[in-house]
Amino acid sequence: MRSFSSVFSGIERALSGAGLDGYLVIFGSITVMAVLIMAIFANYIAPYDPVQSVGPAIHPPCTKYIMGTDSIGRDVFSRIVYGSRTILTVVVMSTGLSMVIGIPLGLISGYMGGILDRILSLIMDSIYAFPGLILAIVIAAMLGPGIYNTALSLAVVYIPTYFRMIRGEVLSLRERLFIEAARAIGAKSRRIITKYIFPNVIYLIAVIFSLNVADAILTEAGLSFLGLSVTAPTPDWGFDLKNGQRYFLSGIWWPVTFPGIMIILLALGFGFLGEGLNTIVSKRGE
Amino acid sequence: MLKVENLSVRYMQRFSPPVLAVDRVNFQVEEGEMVGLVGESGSGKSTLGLAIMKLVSPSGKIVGGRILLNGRDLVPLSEKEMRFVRGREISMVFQDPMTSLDPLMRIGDHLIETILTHEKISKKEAKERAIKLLQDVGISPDRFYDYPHQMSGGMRQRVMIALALALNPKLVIADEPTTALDVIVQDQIIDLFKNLRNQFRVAIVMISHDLALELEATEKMAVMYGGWIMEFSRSVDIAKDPLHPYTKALLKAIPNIELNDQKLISIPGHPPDLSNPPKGCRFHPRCPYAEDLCREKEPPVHVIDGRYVKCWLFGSDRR
Amino acid sequence: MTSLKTYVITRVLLTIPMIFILLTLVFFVMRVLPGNPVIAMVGMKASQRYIKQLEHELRLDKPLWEQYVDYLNRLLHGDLGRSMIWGRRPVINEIMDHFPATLELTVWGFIFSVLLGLATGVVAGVKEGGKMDFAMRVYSIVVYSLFIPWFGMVLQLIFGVWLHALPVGGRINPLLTPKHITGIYVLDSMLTWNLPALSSSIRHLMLPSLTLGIVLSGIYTRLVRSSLIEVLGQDFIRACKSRGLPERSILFKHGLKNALIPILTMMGLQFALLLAGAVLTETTFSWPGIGTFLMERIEYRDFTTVQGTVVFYAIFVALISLIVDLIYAYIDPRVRY
Ligand SMILES: Nc1ncnc2c1ncn2[C@@H]1O[C@H](COP(=O)(O)OP(=O)(O)OP(=O)(O)O)[C@@H](O)[C@H]1O
Ligand SMILES: [Mg+2]
Repeated sequence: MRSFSSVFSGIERALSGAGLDGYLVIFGSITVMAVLIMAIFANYIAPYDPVQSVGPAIHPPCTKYIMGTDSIGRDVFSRIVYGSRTILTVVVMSTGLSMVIGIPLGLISGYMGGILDRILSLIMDSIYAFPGLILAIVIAAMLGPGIYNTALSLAVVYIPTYFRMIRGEVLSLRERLFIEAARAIGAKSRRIITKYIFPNVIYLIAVIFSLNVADAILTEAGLSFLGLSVTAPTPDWGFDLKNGQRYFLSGIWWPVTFPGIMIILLALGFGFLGEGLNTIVSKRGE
Repeated sequence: MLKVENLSVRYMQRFSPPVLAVDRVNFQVEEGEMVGLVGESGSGKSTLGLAIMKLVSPSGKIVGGRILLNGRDLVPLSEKEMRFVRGREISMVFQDPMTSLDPLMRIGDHLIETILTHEKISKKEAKERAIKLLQDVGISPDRFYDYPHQMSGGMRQRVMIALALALNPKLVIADEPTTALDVIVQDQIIDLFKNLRNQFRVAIVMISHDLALELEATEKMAVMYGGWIMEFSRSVDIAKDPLHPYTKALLKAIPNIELNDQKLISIPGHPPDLSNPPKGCRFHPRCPYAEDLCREKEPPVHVIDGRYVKCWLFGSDRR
Repeated sequence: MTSLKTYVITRVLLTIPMIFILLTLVFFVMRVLPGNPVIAMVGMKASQRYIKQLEHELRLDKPLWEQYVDYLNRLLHGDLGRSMIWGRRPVINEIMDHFPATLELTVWGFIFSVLLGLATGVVAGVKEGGKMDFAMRVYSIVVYSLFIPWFGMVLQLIFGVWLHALPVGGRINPLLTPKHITGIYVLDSMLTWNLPALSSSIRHLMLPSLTLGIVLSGIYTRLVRSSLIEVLGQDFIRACKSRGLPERSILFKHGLKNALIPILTMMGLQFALLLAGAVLTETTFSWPGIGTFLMERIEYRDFTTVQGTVVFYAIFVALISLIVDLIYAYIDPRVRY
């Protein structure tokens, strides 16, 4: 019990002076945690098999099927619970891949400068200027459906985001004294990047990560809404929403509303988290 | 005409203690007078100048005292009422002419806008007056349609001066109007101020950290240190017989050789941290005459032959 | 004037590598990614002969670099190839049939998003750190998180089904289609003074463009907010105050006007977001634009058309960003003179 309250007071202290932004962080973390728990413990939480017909088709929410059933009698709630796995897996894999490629390139490009930097920047800026979802659509269409393919197509879209942010930060860090000093004492480039620059961009990475994940969630949902992400029985929020669209306007609201709310909540969670963190950290920095 | 009484300004900061940048300050300006305000960086000169126009918000706040302009106290006035004081009765020239003009607005439009905001005259008349004002400050009328970035710093500062004079105010506060400029241009701008003062019969508060310049140009002078006015008297008296140890130190720091541009052989020590000022007299850590009393208690203001000085060295029981 | 000229020339020259890189990216995506585009197109079960024939037709049997040179060469001559289904029309014609619809939707969505973003951004930026500022920051994140298809469907339900106020799909009542001049129905019906068509097309536009506009307005809220805060902190604003100018004119004439310049430079990127959002909006509202067209051709595995459409997007995006920068140069006197 004591450790519990000390954790709490720790959080309180961390958020003191954060004002309303503290609430954003709290709301964001709770939402994200909830979905994470949902995904991890899906088999304990979901009452039914998400890919089997378990009741009458198009049954409105009731005590037995709390979010109703879809057009072929699958339990909407169970599909939502398992669907969190799909979207989180895709998003985590894709952002991980974008980071693994985008961050080192940004570090090197920003630090080295010169012709390499110019070429890389031009390429990244061009991709960045292209509508992300459309790029993801084409890549996903060429690769075919599947979780890995979807993750790959999202990763390509978001590499420039990481690259640009990190590069910009490195450029401003490079001018700062301590790196000049490190260079003066003859440290190797690789050492300077990993020892001096990288630790200074970690906070930035956390912020971009939150905001970027929010974006990636919406893009993943968009891809699956367009039918380019997963194939038929797999539970997936965007895909389920698309399947419910046909009946939605005739009053069958539940197969659309619940997945939609989940997509929005998850994007909001990460969005609030990133915004709150960013504001708090930049206030502290003043 | 302008009488500042016990004026205090405090800046609130989010993650550090508040700063009392101007602390119970008294001084006055008579009609048509040129009054200097000198002191090291951070002594609160700009804050005092801005406070007279009530422009210290949002981070700053006037926390006490009165600003009497021809007998009327400005402190209780609302923002709306202040609008009619600013520009019309008191106006201001800022330190950096490069950033003080709207980059998207032509020079002439700045002037016309200012005039038309306050006076009910036709646009044509306003334009004529604007051109006249530009000529007064030495800018040719064919610069009327220029954008700020097309002008040099000195020219922009002339425009700022024209803007400050546009509505015939009684008082202009000039906050280091020459600091951002080349030396030669500096002299030109100071001369311009001198001329315009006679032409427009306007009082000027000239803020500067350049004591030599102030001694030459002003009639009276206030010496600021750490948010206090340490000495306030006629400039000739200060030049001949400075009373306050800080004033003496400043005078000593003026480079003798006019030729080289080495500003301020600085006074040893550092200006005080105003969020945590030293106890007693704020100058005592750097004062060669400091005694125990100076370290303990704030000095009172003494009036000696019409001169004000805030120091323990003076007063009936001392001198 | 010379500085403006140099600016324009450099900017135009900079567009070329950008288009080139994007075209290369498209080529790369369409051929080098794992998987055979022909098999992706016709499926595994097609006969070997048919696959060979298609490969030959698409020049996929040639070495990669030869294909690449050929691809660029054709594009240079404005040749996007021919569709592989339904009459094999030139891809560019197919695109042009659908482009006006997308343009109409995005322009209206753009207008809504800018108006909303300006209003909310100004409210936020006037008093940084205030309650309204926080509220508007929350607004911007909330609307951006509104998943377009879901939000669109909710609007369809409310305004279409419950209130019977607005149509839920399509561009216009087909019986009222105006004479084709630009292909933009609102414009065409105004040019031909066809009021029923005008009203029908505006009513059809309402829901999709509002969906797109509201969702993307959050971005403008943030841009306007941060830019305004930055400008309002600058010296010349205080100088304006020192001249007794009214607060409104300081905020709008001096503050907002200056704040809009950096926002303008980012409009190009925003337009890309608008195009991406338009794909989802079009699909949700059965809007016959390039987005639905692209999705349809992906479904039919019309390889050349998909490639052509993406190339079209790339060039369009590059041109928009060029135009935006030229407008900026014209508006900002610091560049113009
Ligand atoms: N916006 C602000 N917020 C907090 N503190 C401030 C602010 N502006 C000024 N100060 C503090 O108030 C004190 C006086 O500042 P002020 O600018 O008036 O000095 P100054 O005499 O004009 O100096 P300088 O010669 O550098 O212009 C300084 O300690 C400064 O740090
Ligand atoms: Mg100052």
